[in-house]
Amino acid sequence: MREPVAVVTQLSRQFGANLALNDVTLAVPRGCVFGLVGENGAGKSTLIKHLLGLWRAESGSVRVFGRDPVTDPAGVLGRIGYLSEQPDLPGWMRVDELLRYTQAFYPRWDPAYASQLIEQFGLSRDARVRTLSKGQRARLGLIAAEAHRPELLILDEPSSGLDPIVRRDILEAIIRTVTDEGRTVLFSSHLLDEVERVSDHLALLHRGVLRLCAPLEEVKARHRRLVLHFAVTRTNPPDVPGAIQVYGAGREWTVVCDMARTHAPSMAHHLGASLVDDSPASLEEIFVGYSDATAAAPGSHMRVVT
Amino acid sequence: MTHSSTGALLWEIWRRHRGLVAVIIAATAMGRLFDVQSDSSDSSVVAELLQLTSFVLLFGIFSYTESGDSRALGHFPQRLFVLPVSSLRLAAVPVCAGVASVELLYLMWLNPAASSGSGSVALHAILLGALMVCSQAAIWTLDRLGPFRLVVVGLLAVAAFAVGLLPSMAPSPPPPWRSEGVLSALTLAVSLLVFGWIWRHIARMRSGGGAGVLPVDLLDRILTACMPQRRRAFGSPGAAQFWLEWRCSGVVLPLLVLGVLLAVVAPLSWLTRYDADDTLRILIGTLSMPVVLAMAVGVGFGRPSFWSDDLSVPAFMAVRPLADAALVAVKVKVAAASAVVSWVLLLVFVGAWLTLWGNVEALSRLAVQLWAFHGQSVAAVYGIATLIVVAALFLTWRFLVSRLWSGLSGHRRRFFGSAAFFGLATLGWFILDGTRVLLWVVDDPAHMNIAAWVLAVAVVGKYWLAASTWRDLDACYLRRYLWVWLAGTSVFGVLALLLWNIVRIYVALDIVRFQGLLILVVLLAMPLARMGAAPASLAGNRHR
Amino acid sequence: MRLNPSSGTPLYIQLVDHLKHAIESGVIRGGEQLPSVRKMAEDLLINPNTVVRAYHDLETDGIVELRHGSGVFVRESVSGRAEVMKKAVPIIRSAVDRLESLDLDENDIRRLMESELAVRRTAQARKRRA
Repeated sequence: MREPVAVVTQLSRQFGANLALNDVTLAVPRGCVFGLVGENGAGKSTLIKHLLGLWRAESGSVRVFGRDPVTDPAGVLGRIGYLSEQPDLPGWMRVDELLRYTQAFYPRWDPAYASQLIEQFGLSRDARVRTLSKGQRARLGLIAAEAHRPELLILDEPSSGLDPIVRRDILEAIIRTVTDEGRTVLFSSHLLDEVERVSDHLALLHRGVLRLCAPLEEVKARHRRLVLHFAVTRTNPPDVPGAIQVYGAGREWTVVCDMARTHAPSMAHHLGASLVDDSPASLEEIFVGYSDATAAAPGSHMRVVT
Repeated sequence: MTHSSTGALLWEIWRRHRGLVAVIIAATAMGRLFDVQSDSSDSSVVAELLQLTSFVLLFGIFSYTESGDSRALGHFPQRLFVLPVSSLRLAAVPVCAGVASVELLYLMWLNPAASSGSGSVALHAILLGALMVCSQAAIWTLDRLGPFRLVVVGLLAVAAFAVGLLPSMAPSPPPPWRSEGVLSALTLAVSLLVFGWIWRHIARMRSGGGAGVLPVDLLDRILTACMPQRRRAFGSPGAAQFWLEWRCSGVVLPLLVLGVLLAVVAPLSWLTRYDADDTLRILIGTLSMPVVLAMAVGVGFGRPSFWSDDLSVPAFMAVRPLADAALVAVKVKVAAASAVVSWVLLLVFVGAWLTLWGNVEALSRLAVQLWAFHGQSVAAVYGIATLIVVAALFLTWRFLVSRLWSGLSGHRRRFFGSAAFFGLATLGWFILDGTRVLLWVVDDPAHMNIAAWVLAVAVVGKYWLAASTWRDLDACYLRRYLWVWLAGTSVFGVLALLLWNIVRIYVALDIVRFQGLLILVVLLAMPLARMGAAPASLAGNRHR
Repeated sequence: MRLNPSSGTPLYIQLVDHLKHAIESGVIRGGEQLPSVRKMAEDLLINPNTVVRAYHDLETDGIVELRHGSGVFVRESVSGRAEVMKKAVPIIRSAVDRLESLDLDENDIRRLMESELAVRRTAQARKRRA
């Protein structure tokens, strides 16, 4: 197994009274598309900023390419391309000035590739950044992050507030990056169908705790939606081990659960209900299930070591 | 509370600034008490300060802006546009209220015994009103300049002051165009035109804006012409960062210097071209202008991003693969380039001025004195002139970079505290007449001893700190900076030597001790420890 | 072709089904080359590993062959599949008829089919792991 691109070990971070990250440990394998999901304020941006060295690790450690991004910013950041949610590009710069400026920092910059992307995105080279729309600015930020073919492309909620065409461009960039040997993409997003399309690995943060970190296929295989029909009306939800979400009323209850901890037919029999439906859970149900849980106990998450 | 819309708007202004109004009234009361009660120069300076404070606060109240970011200077409150009030009223209420308030404040500060006749009182009152209208116009219509608007307001204040001085300048009695009556009429006319412009601008903004107002577009085009589009690739990351820093912060000082030269010094120098002493005074003022401006620009220069009030490192800069020491080095280089360009502009202007229309009598007298003093050598005179210019250049650069350590650290208290401390110290020097302290030191050998000990401790502390901070940095930075430090210190040292030579003739004092004091002061002049500590403080800010 | 990530079926299976249908209906002929993994992934905006898995499944089923260095080609003998599919249609028809006679509607039938296939799939996966 090749060395992971980024390793985060027992990282915790507190902002005043708020515990933004709580004992997070994960590894981003090389050559994969790593999707980071979580509700607003779950700690995704904080985790990404730790990888970039913008936050110092208070407890625990962060290693990117085997180095600490805080002590060696020049070495680590030269191999990373970063697109933030709202790229704070200087408004007075023109498009080609910005690209020339960015080019000076990255020796592996490919001017032909950058030109091709500018043509493809329809950006005017002489336009000032402040005259560009939000989508055009996102595209420009994407070119600046992508054109030097970074080993690790980090996108922090790149699609938020953008129209579907720009989102398409971003997804294409993600796929182009990962088909190049050895290049990795880490992106955080709310749009679960995008995450489902392109991710290899999924990590789910909830209130600073890593609830889920596994290959996407495994996540989808291990979570199923079971519909139970009871003979008797129930007022309380059935207690199913391994369930992450239970809803329903009366005689019909739907349970979304982790099949590693539940065997469906025996569980149904045990509860005195009949198993009416057994289908794969959608990513949205999984997301809601792990994000809705009131108990954010670190031990209750599923971890798979690759 | 009235039920008219005008009353509501006025009530809102008062309600928002109750605290400031109270401060203004208190300051005015205290100032008048000082004026009336005592006659000593000390309290009159305090009274002047209070007067200045109350006027500045009043102008602050009537700047009448709001913004999303509570710290930045904002824009005309656009939420008022949906009210059922005509644009004329929206424009007239703050303008008229401002003019009325400033005239009221002027009346309260008016000293009937000291005023030199009712004519100039009227002119000053009209000038104050015009300044209020024009500064409001500048703040509301020149949105694009951002914080630069305050500089425009400052320039307007200087212009108003200059116009106020016009009738009393040589030769007197003044020609008709410089008489008070004509100036008052002109000022009134300008104020009315500016008010018309404000009204038009507000009406335009309300109906959705449109193409930019003409002067701002022109300014934008001038700035674009000054800063041509970069078409060549950059040789290295350092070069690219230098270009960025130069465009953001490096051009500010040269542009300011150019602006002051063209708008203030040029007309003043033309008007005083018959008076030798005045010319000399204006020349000295012009030569010290970049240093003073550098103190102000240095406050912004020390911040990670010049134009933003936020002291944190913007992500755009923090994500660049550039070491902290390299970023600091780029800032220092840009400061040097900024200082050099400003001085080149100044020297070109002064050269043109003195050769073409300047009255160089007083200057020639001074030059002859120096020539005679230094063994009748012309080279010495030119050498001294060059030395003074180079020393002033180093001083300009020094003031630009002096805030780097506290600004890059990102700690607001440290930054504003140190800037405020410096500002208060300067103010204190002027109020309490700092030259007295100097004379007190120089008079008595015992006092000189004390001063020498204090300075010696400061020098030792500075170099010990420098040693500990520079230890962590790359040797190449130290090597390069040591040359700069050496050059600056030697320039100041030679200047101190000259000063000592001259002082020796005119003042009887303990020469050896005085030399010692001068040497210690020279050793403290160039920043050393701060430069070494700056990368570490930037690192602390960049990786929080 | 639009792949729907939120439907119950995994993406690679949707892709396999679509390609199989295209091959059987003659849109892609025997001997033709399928688009490269990279191009397919970029066009559909899905992870390349999904495409790799789909192609692998098609190879296991004997529909395509991977020629090293050249790409993925449809087997010449694939038209034989069309015959098999034709045979399968009456089986399905009779099964659905019988289920309908039990008064089950469309949704019930689909649910039963899918759960049966899912059970088989899980069993196969367990066998592969063991």
